[in-house]
Amino acid sequence: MSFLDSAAAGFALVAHWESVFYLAMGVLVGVIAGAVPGVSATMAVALALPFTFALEPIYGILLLLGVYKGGIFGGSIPAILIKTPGTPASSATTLDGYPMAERGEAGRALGMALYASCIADLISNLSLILLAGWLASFALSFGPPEFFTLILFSLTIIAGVSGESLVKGLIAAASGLLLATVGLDLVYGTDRFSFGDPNLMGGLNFIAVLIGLFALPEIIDFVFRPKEEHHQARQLGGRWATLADVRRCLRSIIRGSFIGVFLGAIPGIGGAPAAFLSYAEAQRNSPNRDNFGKGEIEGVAAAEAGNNGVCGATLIPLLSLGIPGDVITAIIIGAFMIHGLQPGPMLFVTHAHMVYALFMGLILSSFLLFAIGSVAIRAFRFVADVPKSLLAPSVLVLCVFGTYAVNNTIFDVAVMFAMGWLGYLMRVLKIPAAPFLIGFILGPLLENSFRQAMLMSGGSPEIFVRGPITWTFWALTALALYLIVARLRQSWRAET
Amino acid sequence: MSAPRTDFWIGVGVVALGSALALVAVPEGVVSPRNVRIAVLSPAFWPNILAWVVALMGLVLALQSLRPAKTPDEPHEAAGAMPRHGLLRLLALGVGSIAFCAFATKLGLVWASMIAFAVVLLLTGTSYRIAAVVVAILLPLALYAFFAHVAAVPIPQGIFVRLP
Repeated sequence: MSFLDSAAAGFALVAHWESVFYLAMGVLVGVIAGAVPGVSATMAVALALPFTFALEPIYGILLLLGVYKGGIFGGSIPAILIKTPGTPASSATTLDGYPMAERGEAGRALGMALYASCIADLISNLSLILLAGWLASFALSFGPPEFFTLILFSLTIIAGVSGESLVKGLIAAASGLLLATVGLDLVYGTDRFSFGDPNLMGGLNFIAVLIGLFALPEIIDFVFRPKEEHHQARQLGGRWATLADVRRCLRSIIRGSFIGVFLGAIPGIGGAPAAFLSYAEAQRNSPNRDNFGKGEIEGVAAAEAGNNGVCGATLIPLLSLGIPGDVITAIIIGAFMIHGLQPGPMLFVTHAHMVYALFMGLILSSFLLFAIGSVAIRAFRFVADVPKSLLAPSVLVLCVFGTYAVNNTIFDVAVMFAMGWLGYLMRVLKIPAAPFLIGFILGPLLENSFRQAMLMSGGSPEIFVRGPITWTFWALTALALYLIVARLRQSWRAET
Repeated sequence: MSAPRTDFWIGVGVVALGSALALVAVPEGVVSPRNVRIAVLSPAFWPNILAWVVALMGLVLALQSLRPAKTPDEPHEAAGAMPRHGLLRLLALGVGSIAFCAFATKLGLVWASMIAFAVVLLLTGTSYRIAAVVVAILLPLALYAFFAHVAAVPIPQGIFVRLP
């Protein structure tokens, strides 16, 4: 199928009212979830996933991408109005957004956040379209040894999602990799930790693990510490962001978008560092640098451009190589698999029309984000007032139904509860959950490519250094490890 | 308990867990055929390596926590503010989640979810009682309607009251 044929087939797939409807639904749900303090974009995507089972793959995945994008923007609303970032990526937005809100310019700050988010999102999506296909065509020549070294390299993203303690992140990742070995062995068909129980032979269900780890600990924590939080939301004020404001901040928005694209394409970095780097660069280059931190609109624009620039770019490694760029895209990989699609270079061959449909849907999502975001800004007051005492049991019921719906078995619900308690224990012990999930998802890919490569070579490890691609990934892994060790040594020196 | 001291005990626990996995769980829980010619292809190879990595990382964490710190130890936030009856509520939630899994199929997922909603509300309390009752009834019913009638998922109806 030629490029034009694939693009036409993709357009035919996406040019339905259902595509627009589910994408808009996703953006709406994401903006609302992102705006509710205590509901992260990750949790929103995890909870939305079971609702996509009944949908066509294209609609389901568009819905989840909408939740992802909406969730990242939605996080900026409480960041500006109540100084509580809805998502970690919105932390930089509070620096200037809240001071603006304090002096009665919340509407102007939110308007700028929306403009910057949509422009950055569009640039990020266009970068995805330009780069993903090229990278996938390159990755088509990959065999198991190349994939093994690639996945090994992508595991270094754990350093980026480990939070305060890298060692704890590594413990979590190794535990996730270990949990992924439960089930029948793929080469010999023998039992691994399933102890003859048919429920365990297929391995632990990804969604049960995911929802348990990311949604339940919030509820358990609320039961332990039931405290309603009443936030004092600032008034929107009479001033709105004008085109003149956008023109003045455009340089920072575009710079921030490309910073987001660059950092988003590298697995494991995520939105928060991109937002802070974009903010710092805007401050360094701005004639109003002295106003940064005191309510400078350019600061809001730069932070939001940085974190939204990441959204499309995290899909570059996902679609072209089949590896997640962050935790949310790790969940989206699961969504692809549930719908019978395997992200990676072969997706561009076997389901090229689907990939182009996603590209078109993503472009559309930038415009939908603008439309829905404009309304959401005005409706935030109702969202912020959702009492946590009602939210927590509601999320619990959603978790139960969503998990049950995957395989129609209560066993999965039990796994979800078990994972929820494990996630809560990890939270109490300050062990990050994200590396656990990434290990759980990448584990089977890593082991399978390793064993396939060893089968090919008859047990000779030389296959892992068979060509320039494997050498490149080994070098990148070594570089990433060097940087991790350097960071560790730096933090040790600072502490002792 | 101070953060380094907690980390020391976490490290010790992780070493114990990793060792137990490598020495007991892998030999007992992973079936390896006798005719495996290449050791790295054995079904037990990967779990073994990972179990030892877990133990090793636990050791690193424990040793790391023994280093003298420049700043004085800060107490863990969680330990500082133990809410009243917090552990009791957690225990009740734990028992509730086991009971849910045990009886959800017999009761029906919708009714069991309504009860679970009520239990969480009882444990946490709310000042929005009317809204709570409405949500507790309508949310499981709405989810049932979606999953059973739109997504064609056979939601367990239970043996007492059946829904259309």
